Parts: sequence; structure tokens; C-alpha cells
Amino acid sequence: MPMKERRGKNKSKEFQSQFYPGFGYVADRRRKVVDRSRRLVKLRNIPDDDIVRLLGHRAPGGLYLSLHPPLDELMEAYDPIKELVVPTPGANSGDRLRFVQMVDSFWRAPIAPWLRQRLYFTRFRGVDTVVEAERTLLEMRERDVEAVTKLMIEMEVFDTARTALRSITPQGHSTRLDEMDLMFDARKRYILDFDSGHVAYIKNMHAETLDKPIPLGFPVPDNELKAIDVTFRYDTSQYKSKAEVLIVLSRIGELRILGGYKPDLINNM
Amino acid sequence: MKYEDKIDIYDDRGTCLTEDLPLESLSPLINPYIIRILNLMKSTAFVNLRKIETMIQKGAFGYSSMSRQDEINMPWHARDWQIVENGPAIVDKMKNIIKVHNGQDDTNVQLLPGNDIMMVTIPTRRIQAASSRDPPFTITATALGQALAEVFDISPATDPDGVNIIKNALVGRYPQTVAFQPGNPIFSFLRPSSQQEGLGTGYKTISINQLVALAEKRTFDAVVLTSILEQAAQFEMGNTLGWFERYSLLAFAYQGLNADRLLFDLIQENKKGTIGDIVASLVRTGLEDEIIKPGRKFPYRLFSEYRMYTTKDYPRWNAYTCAGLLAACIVNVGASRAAQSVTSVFSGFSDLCMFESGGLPDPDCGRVMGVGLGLTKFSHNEGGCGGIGTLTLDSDLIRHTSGFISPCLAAAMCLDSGTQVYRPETTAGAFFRIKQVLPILSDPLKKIAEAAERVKSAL
Amino acid sequence: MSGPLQKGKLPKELTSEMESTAKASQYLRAAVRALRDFLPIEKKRRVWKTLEKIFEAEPIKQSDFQMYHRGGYAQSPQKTAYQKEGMEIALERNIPAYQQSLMEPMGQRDLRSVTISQTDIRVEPEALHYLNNFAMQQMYDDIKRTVILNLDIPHRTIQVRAGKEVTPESVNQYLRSVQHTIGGGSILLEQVADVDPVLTSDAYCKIITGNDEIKDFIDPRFIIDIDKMFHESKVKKLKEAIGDTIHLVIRAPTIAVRTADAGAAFKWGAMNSIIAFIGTYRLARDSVISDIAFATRQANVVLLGDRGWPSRAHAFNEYGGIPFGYLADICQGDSELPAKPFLQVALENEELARKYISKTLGCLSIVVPVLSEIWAGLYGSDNFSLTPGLVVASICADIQEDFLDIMTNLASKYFARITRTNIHVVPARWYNLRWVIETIVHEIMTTMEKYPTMMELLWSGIQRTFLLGSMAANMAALLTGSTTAGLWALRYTNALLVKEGWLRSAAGDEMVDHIGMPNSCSLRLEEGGLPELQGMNSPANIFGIAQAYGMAGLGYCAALARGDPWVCSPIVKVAFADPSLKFNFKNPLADIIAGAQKTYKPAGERALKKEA
Repeated sequence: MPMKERRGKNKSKEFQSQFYPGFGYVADRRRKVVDRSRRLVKLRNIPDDDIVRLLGHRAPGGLYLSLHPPLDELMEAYDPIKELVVPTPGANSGDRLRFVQMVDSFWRAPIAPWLRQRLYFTRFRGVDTVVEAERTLLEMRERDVEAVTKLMIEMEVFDTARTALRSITPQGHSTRLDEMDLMFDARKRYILDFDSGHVAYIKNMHAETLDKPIPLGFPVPDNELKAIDVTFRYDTSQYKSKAEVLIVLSRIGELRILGGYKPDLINNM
Repeated sequence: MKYEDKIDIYDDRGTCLTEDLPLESLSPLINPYIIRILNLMKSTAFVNLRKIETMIQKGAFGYSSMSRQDEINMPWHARDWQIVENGPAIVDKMKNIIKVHNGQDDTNVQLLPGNDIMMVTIPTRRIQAASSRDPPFTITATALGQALAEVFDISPATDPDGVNIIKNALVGRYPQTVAFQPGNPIFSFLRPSSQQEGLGTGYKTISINQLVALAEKRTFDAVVLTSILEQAAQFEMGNTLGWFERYSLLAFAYQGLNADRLLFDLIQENKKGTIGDIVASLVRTGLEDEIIKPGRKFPYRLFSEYRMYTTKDYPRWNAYTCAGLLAACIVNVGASRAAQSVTSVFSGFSDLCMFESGGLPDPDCGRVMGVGLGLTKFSHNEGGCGGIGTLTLDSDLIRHTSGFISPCLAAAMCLDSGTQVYRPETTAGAFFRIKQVLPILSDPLKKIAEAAERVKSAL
Repeated sequence: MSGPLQKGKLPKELTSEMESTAKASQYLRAAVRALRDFLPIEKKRRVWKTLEKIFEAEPIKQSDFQMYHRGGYAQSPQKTAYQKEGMEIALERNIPAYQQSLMEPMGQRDLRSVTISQTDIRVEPEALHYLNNFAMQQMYDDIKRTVILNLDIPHRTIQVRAGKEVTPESVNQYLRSVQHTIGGGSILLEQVADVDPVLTSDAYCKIITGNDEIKDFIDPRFIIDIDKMFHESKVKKLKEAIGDTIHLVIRAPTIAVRTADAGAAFKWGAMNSIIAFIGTYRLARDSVISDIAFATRQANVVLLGDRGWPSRAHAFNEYGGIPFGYLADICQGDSELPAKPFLQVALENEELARKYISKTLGCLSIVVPVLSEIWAGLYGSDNFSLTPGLVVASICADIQEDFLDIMTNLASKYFARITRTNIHVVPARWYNLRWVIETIVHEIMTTMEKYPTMMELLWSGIQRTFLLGSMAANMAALLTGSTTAGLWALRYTNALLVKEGWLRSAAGDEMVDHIGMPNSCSLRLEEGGLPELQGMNSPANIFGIAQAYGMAGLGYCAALARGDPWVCSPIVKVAFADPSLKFNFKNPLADIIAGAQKTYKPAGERALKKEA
């Protein structure tokens, strides 16, 4: 619409995002994770230094290594867009790009790979993720990734038994759980400490042994996890009865097929 | 006039350049500026004289490796010819050889500032008489060979090996190999047609780093140039005939040319925001501009108050979502200033957009999401496509859309602040200097708008 | 560590949001109830019994009590044997070789031998790798070395240009001579070298024709007999389609195709068939022979695969260039079954319908996954460790058999009765197919959720895409007889349905499915086209390795639904109905098992023979 017509229009104040279709607690939960205005519940407190040790990219208290000079000192050709978009603190200081990789078990982890990607893209800035069947990678500037990891471990989307931080040898999302209901890890990065009941990491994300184990908290039993599951399963929330989601998916599929053939076919559909 | 749409064009500071342009005036078939750029791409060749001199002095030509370029080493075939010093003489000789003697000749051979790269413009008559876009390579190589032979007095009588050395230095092992050597001293904007993959994909054989260097890393300029080449290729492939013409032209205008200031507004509103914010802004703008509205004939409001939207003009909604895609890429990469962050935006934005817009399809009906998934996987795993800067627009990973991905990749490489290994400065260094000599490449948005104004009345 | 999380209970703030619709304890009761009601039925399923045998534990148990206590790579006898061989090789050649646990901790995971479906044979996955299993290599070689020429055109050229008579005796004489040349025998009088016939004992030529008179005068040893190899309801249609002409099916020697590449089959076959003409008709090597040569080798050649694009240039007959319809025609499992529309068969007899499915898809489920793994491992550059994931998903542990049971059950229960109204197939419209696809995908997804042991075998998202997509595509094609409808089902399942159900998809391999949805019906140049005529060389399909099985399968199922004897080309169908072929395309499972147990003898063996 030409600007001169648009300038006269009022910005509509009653628009509200609708995020995701679906009726029932699974869809509610998927909406909650993606909606920036709703707060995720914090389940545990982890000290910042422990997070840095878990990530294993630098020693706690050490300096950040940088790839290029801070943006204020960088000589670049004039570009109004670069002046417009606000860079993150990590980009401003020129940090190198580091990552955190999380594996979610198939057996009732609190969050699943595609929902992780939606969470990263709606709540954080400057995100680079790769979504795969077993793991989700998140690569950002070093300062930013440490801040995000702290949130991701402390919030309700991390369960110490069914979610894990692994960079190498991430296999294990579809294997059965072990006798203490922890996810299989070929490198044994975490154990269940019987005295305190917490799951403690004895190696960091890269499977290098830590000086002191880092306890992350209680694992949650199966039936509690089923109550906050985000996937449609045969015993908690059957996929075939989720008519809303299936109606919307079918609409998307049909419109994609018709629109790919002739775009004007889907006008008024 | 074929279509009734009217477009306003704004530049990257938000000021209006022109108003009320008819949509066809932006088509590559009609807009005079775009036609001049396409001709420039087809008819210009560059020669790196210093590289020829170094290769011949070491005897290392006809290689096939990309970085070190040293596996062929024949010092007994080295010659001590001072090619860069004799630059002006070579330029004169080449002009004489290439010229068309009909009084309307527009050949141009000149040395770029720095005196080691020569730019050759092939005359229009030769391009018209040719059936392909290979003249910049074939004519430049042969003419340069003859010029060098005359300047340094090389012939079978005086130096038989030298004759063959010239040939291998200029084109590598061709025709023993199908393509020229990597980093060939004779290069153009596009690649030769023996490396072409598919009918009509000639304009897509340029790489992203070269386009970013031509725009001197100014975001909107790189987006414009990439969009022009992509849409020209789509026109050549026949993907924009009939049903798809308005679809492609609208997306070109809104995504590539910042039409109606949609792109700039989305970036400005969300300059500290995330991609989720852009999706919400986009759908709100669509509702305000009355492109989409809640459906009336089917139960549009479901149990959970989710509304399914419908549109009476899908090509225009597609153009809006493509502009939103580019805005999301710019905001994400602008936040992290690392070009690798762009690949995941394609699938992330499409995913969020299709559920937010109530069941309407994502940009380009799903092709963008598919390409994004493949590109993310291969640029981050051991399959190894390298960085996104070295990809050509017709690479297997990104050729499947109707041309809406490459402008985003070009924007990302512009906003990158030095995190990539294969940067424009290293892989396309010569192209930074070309802009000083070719003023046609600066301020492309303004020039397109002016050219469209001029032909407005004829439509 | 501190925070609101108590031992064994989530904080009220989190669960109170769910109070309005469900409580945590309700799930425990409902789940126990569900399982108690359905447990007896589950125990009767095929896949329960097989998984119990493989894992020696209850298949639905979510916990593995022996984890980490298994003894490293010693749990696999095959890997232990390889480790020993690796040490011997390293000592002999003085350079290190195969060595476990240099990089990843290989033996930590549970390594098990799996059963082959419908048998009791246990094999380790090593036996199903295409480099270890010679039967798989012979299958690919048999496909690569087949070239089909037409003989009418050279015969006409000989009569017209060379003025010689072509009679039944001369044709038979030609066929005898071509067996000599195709095995590497020479016909020049100079001291030219011959090839040892033992090395090329698998090279021969046979005839296909649709005309009974021609069949009568040709020596029966040289004919692929349509009457004997196919059911009578298919014979007439095949003969009419092939017509009154003679096609020569050439099998070049395996050793030639292994020394060079698959393009050698064409060159070898063409040249030697021309030379046989020279010998038979006493032709001089003058300009006439050039016309005859063109007529033989260029005029009407049916190659199985075509060349690739410049960036991936392979020769003729390599897997990348073979269309999916040919892959379905190469399978011969259904040649003895009557040609009846599938829904009619399902109405009369569900057991027979299940037999149809297991013969057709059972055969295809060996040919395509093996070729896909070879493509991924040797021609493509991704999925470096996929083997033998696709083969395990398709022929092991009765997994696919169980899903095919579900599919046949659904088809006969709900759809067979439409044949009473004089139509064989459901019209191919989106609203017809939607709920069918959702039902079958839902069934398979719930099976995978119920059986943690099955999920352990299907460790990769690509295997799950492979199974789910192909089942949905086969179902849609079986009901509608339309391959484009099957393609819609395949793309819709992989791209949208599975992703939203589990929020977990196939690791970037579903790129093809997102692109494939708008491209499924398209008139643009680089998109669209029938799935039977697409192949791995098409630009987008290169990245979709798991989907190749679905694309070939849906062509096969659509032909079943319509009751057609072939999918795409009757000539290819008859050419592979040849009992003299080294690999058995009618019952490939037997050969693969023989290859797994190291009793299979492939062709062209270069065993050292003492010179006399």
C-alpha cells in the first residue's frame, strides 16, 4: 500500500499475537514457551562460574578472546543499516563465536528440538541454531552464549535427567533410560549423587573432567514430566484428537501445494 | 498498463525517492538501468596482469588446487617477462585486436588504478553476434595471447615452449579440464558456460562475496544488486512468465527495493528486538494494510480463539513475507554481526510466520524453509560447504527458490564484521576497486527509481 | 544449588497452570489403565515377539538395567574378530590399521545382532554393510551392466545397405556369436588376446519380443519367456506393449563394470554386438559397417541411468541417473500374482492382499535402501556413517512388516467396500487423503512411542523419516492409484505432520520435503514432473536420501492399485525377469541372507588360478 495512504492510518492497538493453534495443555505450553511476555519458571540457581566451567570454552575469571576489534574501533564503510540495528554486548566487544549444544531425550524431556529453535528466535537476539533429530546447537558470541546458557539451565525447560549438555558424542536421545532414569551418555558426564539426590556433572560439555563436580539439582519423576510434556503422545495427549492443530497443518499443506502451482489460486481461500 | 499496482521506492535512510511507479517499470525487460547492469555483467572481463607475471616467473600454472595453487612446479618453463611494466603497450594492442571497425565501436580496454588489473569491455556487436555469454573469456584470452606474443616477440621460431606457456598461463589446462584454473587471471563477473548447471541459470554464476565487494559492503546496495541478477535469471529460466510475473515483480520490489518503506519500517521498529517481534509486526502490518483478514466463510475462530486468516491477493502477501524474511535476517545478523547467523533464520522465520498468520503459507510457499534447512545443515557440519560467502547463486543448496534467498545472504555478508574465514576482502579483493572506475554501480536504488520514472509515461 | 524445585515434585507455579485441564496423578492412573487394557493385544503383535527375542527384555520397558555393564565392544563378536584382524594387518604391513576405541568410546552403547524379518536368522549389522555383503554388490552390478538394444534397425540396415538376407537361421547364428564376443572372445585373425572365459562367465545376451511367431523361430535358450515368467493376466498386456520387435538385452561382464565404471557396460556391449554382426554376416570393414554400427549402438538404446550434471558428473547407468520408476520395474516380486486392482483383492481376501504387499514392497525394500546407502556412502558427501541404518529399518526385526500389517488392515477394513460401486480407486483429492494419512502416521508414531526398544534400533531421525514417509506415501498411492497423490502424502508427512507431533524431525534431510510440497505440481522447468520419472540426479532430490524409497514405493503401489503389470517401462520389467541373472530379483531376501552368512558366490571373482 503506498505510504501516503498508510500515513493516515492508525496503528491498531488491539492486535495480539496468537503464536500457535491448539486447545489443551500441550498447545498452551507450546504457546507459553514462545510468548515473550510470559515468564518461564525458574527451578534452580546455578552460580555463574559453574556455568562457565560447564561450557568449557574459557576458565572462569579469564579474559574473553576476540576475533576482531570492538565495533567502535572498527573502520568500516558507511552503511546506515549498521548504524540502525543495535548489536549485542558480545558483538560490540568483538568476542569469538562459541556454542552450547543440548540433547533432549525422546522420553519426556521438557522441551524438544523444534520448540527450542522457536524459543531461541523469540526470546534471544543474534542467534545461530541448527535443529537436528537428536541435538540442537546454539552458536552466539561468547558473552551472549554464557548469558543464554544460564537461563536455559535454570528455567523449567531443563530437566537434569532428560536433558544434557554435550558437545561431543551426543548420541543417546532414543535409547532407553538407565536404572536411575537418566539419559544414556557414552562419556558419562553426569551421575546421580545418592546422598543429596542431585544430578551432578563430573565432566564439562567437552567431556573433560572437572576439578569439582557441579550439582545441578533434582531429577523429576516420570509422571510429573508427563504433566508438562510438550509433545503429543498416545497416553497423555493423543495426536489424532488434536483437531485444531491438524486443521491448520492441513490448510498450510494444501495452500503450499496450490500456491506452488499458481499463486493466484489461493486468493480468498 | 498490465498491472494496476503502484510502488513507492525509499532508500536506506527512509527518505522517499519516487512515488507511484507502475509495477512493470521495475521489470528487467523494461527498466533501462537494469538492462545496462545486465549488459555490464555479460560483457566485461578483467585480467590480473600481476598474477600472470608471477605465475610465469615461477613456472606454476595449470594447477587445480584452490588455496596454495602450487602443485604444478616447472621452473625450467619459467620466463622473465615484465608484463606489468608493459601494461600500456598491451592495452593498446588489445584495443586494436578487439575493436569492431564499423564506426559504432564501444570497445574499452583500460588499466584500473594500481596498474595491475586490466578491464576489458567487449563491444556490443560481438555480444550480439554471439550465441552465449562466453565472449568475455574467449575473446579476451585470445586477444591477450596475441598481444603478449607481439610485445615480447614470441613465436615458434624464437621460443616454441613460450607460445604454449602463454596459453596455459591464461586459461589453465583448458580444454583438458572443463573449467579454467581456480583464481584464473582472466575472470569476469559470471562464470563460463561450461560450468553452468541448468538452462537459463547464467546470471546466477556469480558468487555472494563478489556482489558484496561490488557494493562495498553497504547492505541495501548489495541487496539491490543481488535481487537484480536473481530476478533476471528467473526471467531467463521462464519462472516468471504468466501466472508468476506479478508474484516475482512484487517480491522483487518489496524485498529488493524497499518498496513502500516496509522493509525499513520493520527493521526500525524492531532494531532491538528479536525475530518473533518481526513476525508480529509483519502480521500487524498486513492486517492494517488490509492485505489479510480473518476468514469469513469457514469457521475461522477455533476453540482456543485462534484465527485463520485469508488473503484476497496472495502474491502481495508473499511479497510482504519476503520483505519480513529479509528484515529478520538483517536484525539477527545485525545483532550478532556474524554472517553464519543467517542460515537458521530461513527455517525459523518461516516456521513462526506460518503459525502466526493463521495457516497462510510461508515465503515462496515453503521453498525458502526447505533451502534453509539444507543450508544450515551443510554449513555447520562435516559435509562442508564452507562459508556462505563463497557460494554461487546457482549452487545446489540455494538454487531451488524463486530468488528470495540470495539477497538475504548478501545482506548477511555485508553486516559481518570479520568473523568469516572466506571474506570478501580475501576472495574478491579486486572487485572493491572496480567500483571506483564504474560509477554505474553506485547508488543503484536511486538509479533504478530514476530510470523507472523516465519510462513511466511510455507504459 | 538452590531453588524452588523439591525432590520429586515440580513447583506449584508450574503445575498449577495445568490444573484447569489435567493433574499429574491423573496421568499415572490413565496410563496404567490404558496399558492394562491393551497389553494382551500388544503381546500378539509380530514386533513384540521379535523385539523380545532380540533384547531379551520386555519390549515396552523404558529402562535398561544393564546399561554400562556390557563389556565394551566385546559384546559384538564381529567387531572383536575385526580387531584381531586389524592387529595382524598392522603387524604385517608395519602401518597401523583398524583399531577400536581410538576416537569415540565405541563399546559403551548396547550393540546387538538383529533378526531378519520373517526369519529366525540373527545377523550383526556388519553383515548388512554394502562392502561386506557381496550379494549387495552383485545386485548393483547386475543393474549397472544391463543395456538394452533394438535389433530391428540394424537388421533393416543390413538388408538395405549391405544387401544380405536376414533369416531365422542367421538371427540364431548371430545370437550364438554374440555370446562369444560379449565374453571377450576375439574375431580378428591377428594374435589378439582373449579374455579367460571363467572371469566373464556371467556375460550373456538374451532376447525380448512381444510377437509369438518370432518367439517360435528363435532358439529358446536365448529368450526371456514372458509366458513362463509372468502370470497369465499380465502376459497379454506385456506382449502388446512390447510389440512386434526384437530387443536384445546385453549383460556385460561384472569384471568390466568393476574395472572401469558403469559406462563401460554400454561401450562393451555396443561394440561387441556390432562385431558379432561382422562375424555372422561376413561383412567387410568398410563404410557399410559404420551405418550398421550407428544403427546398433545409437539408434535405439535403452540405458537404465543417464549422465549427471557437471558438478557431479557420473557415467551412464550409475544409480544417480536411474529414474525411480525403473527401480520399481526392476523388482520382480509381483510377476506371478494376477493383475487385479488392489482394493478388489482386499475385498475378497485380506491374506492375499497382504501377500501382494509383502511381495512387492518386500522386494523393493531391499533394492532401494541398499542403493541409497551406496549412493550416500560412495557418491554423496553426507551421512558418512549411515550404513546400515536404512537396511536395518527396512528388513530387520519385523519393524516394517508390522507397519505393512497396519496398512493392509486399514485399506481392507475401510476402503475395500468402495469396489462394490464399480470403481477401483478413490479419487485423488486432498480432502479424501488427509485423514487417511493422519491415521496411518498416528498409528506408526504411537507404535514407536510404546516400544522403547524399537526406538533404540531406529536411532536416527533419517530412519524414522524413511519409514513414516514411505508408509504414508504407499497408503495414499494404494488407495488412489495416483502417484502425485502419493507424493503429496510423502511430503506432507515428513515436512509437517511428524514435526508438529514430536517437535522432532529428520535432521535437515526433510529439506527435500519442504521444497517438494510446492514443487509437486508445477510447470516451472526445474520443478514438477511425475515421481516415476524423477531420480536422484534432479537438483533437489540429491539431498533426500531417505525419501528415495518412498518415491519408488509409491510408483509401485499406484501400479498395484490400478492393477497394472508394470510401473514405467515394460521393456525394463521383462529384461529383469531373467532367471539366468546372478542376483535373484524375485526373492532378493534369500540372496542377501546368503551374503550376510558369507555363503554367496558373486561373479567375476579374481581368485588366483595357476597357469597350466
